This record gives sequence, C-alpha cells and structure tokens, in this order.
Amino acid sequence: MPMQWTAYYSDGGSLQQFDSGGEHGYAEIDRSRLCAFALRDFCGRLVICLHLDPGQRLIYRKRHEQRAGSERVTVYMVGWQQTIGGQNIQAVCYIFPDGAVHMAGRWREDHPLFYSIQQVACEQG
Amino acid sequence: MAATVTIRRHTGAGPTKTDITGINTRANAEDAHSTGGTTNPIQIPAAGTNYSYWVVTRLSADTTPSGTINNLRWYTDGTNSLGTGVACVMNTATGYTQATGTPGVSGTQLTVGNYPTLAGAPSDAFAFNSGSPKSVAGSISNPNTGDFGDYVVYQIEVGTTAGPGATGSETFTWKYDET
Repeated sequence: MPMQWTAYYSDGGSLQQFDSGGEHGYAEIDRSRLCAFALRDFCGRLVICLHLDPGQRLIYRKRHEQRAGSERVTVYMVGWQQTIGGQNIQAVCYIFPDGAVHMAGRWREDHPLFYSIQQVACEQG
Repeated sequence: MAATVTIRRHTGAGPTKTDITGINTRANAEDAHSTGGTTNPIQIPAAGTNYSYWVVTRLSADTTPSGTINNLRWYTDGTNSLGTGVACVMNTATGYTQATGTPGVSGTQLTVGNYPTLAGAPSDAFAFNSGSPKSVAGSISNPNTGDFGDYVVYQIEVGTTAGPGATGSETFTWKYDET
C-alpha cells in the first residue's frame, strides 16, 4: 500500500510529497515550522496524521523487507522523538500493508521491527 | 517514490551482477549464478570439508531514492535446513573478491586471508535472525544509483556426513530504511 506524505506548518502552509513541481524529498520539510505530518494512500484517503508538540521531532521511514524470491514488504513508520530530562524518548506508529497499525515506544534492538533508525542529515541538529 | 532496490549476486572477474531479487541462486562449486545448475556440485569429501564457491551479494538502487536508504540488515530464518553435514557461514565485506576453487569439487575456503576485505572470520549464518540480524554498513542518497552498502558473502560447507543431491533451500532477507 504505497502512501504519500504531507507536512503541515504552523503558519498554515504545507508541503506535499507530490505536487505540480514533482516529488519533494524528506529533507525539504522545514522542521522548524512543522506542526503535523500526514500519510495518505494514493486514493487520497487519510491513513494517519501525527500532530507534533513543541520539542517533538518527526520520525518517518519506509522500513523495507526484501527476501530473494519474494515481493518487497514495506512498513511505514510515523512518530516523534523528544529529549526529556536528558533522555531521548520516542513513540512510533508502524503501518502495515494491510492497514494495521502498531504503536511502540522505546527502540527495541531485539525486535524484528521496532529497532532504531539511523538519523539522516536533516534530522540532526 | 520508493527506490527500486534489487539484490545482486556478483560473479566472475567483471564482476557480473545478476539480479536475484525475484529468484533463487545456487551455491555450487563454480563461480556462476544459476537457479538450478547441477553441472558443478560440491563434492562430498571423504575427509575434511569441501566448500561452495563463496557467494557475493549486494544491494543495488536501480532507481534513486527520493531521500536516503540506510540501516541495512541481513538475516536468515535462524534454522539450518540444509541437511546433515551442511553448514553456511557468512560475513560482510567492503570489497569484491572473485571466488576460486576446483569446479565440481570445492571452492576455496572463505577466510580473511582468501578474501582480504572480509570484516572478519565468517560465522554461522543461522545465528543471524530477524531479532538479531547482521548489520551491514553503508547507505545511498538521492540522486545516486547503483551498488551500495557492504557486500554480504556466504559459503556452504559440506562435511563427510552430507547426503547427495540438492540441499533444502534457505531464504536470506535484507531490510533497509528509506526516507
């Protein structure tokens, strides 16, 4: 179930992954103005909308599993992380191809799905 | 759009990079990809161990991601179903070394000495499962395409107690994150 994102800004503006200008990359999101992040299926139906509080930083990934001889399976990750009392805390929704949503908190390196991300440049600093 | 990522087996001097994403690949005593080749089987040894030619695999971004692909992982189902006397060892590597050996008999053993860019001595592939995968270094970002990440190299080991014929098949899985 391929999906596309929309980033909503606190000043009322937004950035869609796909618009008349083509495809926008994740790094183009202005994280300083970001107040919500939504995923929609390619019929335009809202699947999930994450509302961010000040200090919460967006987590978004497509987590792919590719087995030789099988179709690729993709789980979308949408959540937030925040530094509270010196600790990094996160809450992430995992959206499966059949539409099921699982939500988890801390990263679990022993779990087949809930393990940590590797930050990309736009998420640092 | 999500990048088109394929699993490639590297063979030969070039190397030749065969897309094995939607198919299987055999680990025979030859430096070649096949889905069902029987011309160069691994000979069951009378003593000691014989080996397949090592199998070199790597991910390829056939189309560029809109962002970045990283956090690569590789694993098995955690259970060796290859049969009695048959094992599989693996490790990652930063470069490609063509497999050698005697066709139809045995490949050269996969060691750091024989494969200089191997990350370390190979270990049991089935120790790596979905909850404890092998981390594979590397990433690729827009607008780049092509091979990315370290290689995953594995080899079949055949001992004296192995039985004749094709072994059971095993599924190896790659996982990666994309923005």
